[in-house]
Amino acid sequence: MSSLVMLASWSGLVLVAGFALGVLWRFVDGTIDLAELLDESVQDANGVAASWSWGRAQAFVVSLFATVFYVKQVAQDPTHFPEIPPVLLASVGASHAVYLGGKLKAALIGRARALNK
Amino acid sequence: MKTLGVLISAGVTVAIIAVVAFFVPGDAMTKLKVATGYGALSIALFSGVLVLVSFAMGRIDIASLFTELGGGASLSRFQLFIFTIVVAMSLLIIVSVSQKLPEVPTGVLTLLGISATTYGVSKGIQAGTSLTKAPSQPEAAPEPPKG
Repeated sequence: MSSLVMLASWSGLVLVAGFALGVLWRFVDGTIDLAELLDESVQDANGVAASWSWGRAQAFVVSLFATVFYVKQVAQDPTHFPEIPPVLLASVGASHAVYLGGKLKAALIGRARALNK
Repeated sequence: MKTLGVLISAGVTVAIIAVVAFFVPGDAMTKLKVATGYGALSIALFSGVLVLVSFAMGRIDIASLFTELGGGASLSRFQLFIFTIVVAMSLLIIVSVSQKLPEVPTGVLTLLGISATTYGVSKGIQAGTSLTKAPSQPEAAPEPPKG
């Protein structure tokens, strides 16, 4: 049965990695556009305008840091899942809360402007 | 192509089960366990390969995978994708190294939960507002009425 476990895990790894590489390829060839990843859309008099968002930027940086930390822990000891420090979890939670707060604020501002038109 | 893929998958699965039934030593229960395991793996693997091939050929369009409702890239979708892929790959690596299903710590589940919740709430905020993109070119003047 150990050969089945090994085969199953390697097959799964190939499939997941294949999917991830496919998405990465779509980034590279421009099919998936991340141009406004760190921009927030706010409604103004002319419709919707996208502008730089610090909320998104900090959420992106914190998520990236958490990902790198996690990958490093798994690379160091691939026999079990890593323990994620509570401080890191709290940081990610707070960061995402700030991002969502900014998104909600932009949405409410847009709605208020639309109603005042 | 889809039908051919399904037929190949079914054929290989049946062949695997037949090989196990005739050549794997052991009692009937052992043969049944091994055959079921390899048969299920064969079906799952071929299904996954079919999806990847469709993906590579452009039959499955993922251009808007990270697109928000009003346009532009969605950070919540992007971070959910990254966390999901990273945790999935780490699970498969851990299983291949340790040869058993690992215990998932609360921290990892919490991280995935935060990521998924962020995506859900972001989607909810977007669904509650309707955004229309600013026109990039001046709109054409309306045609005068005929007659």
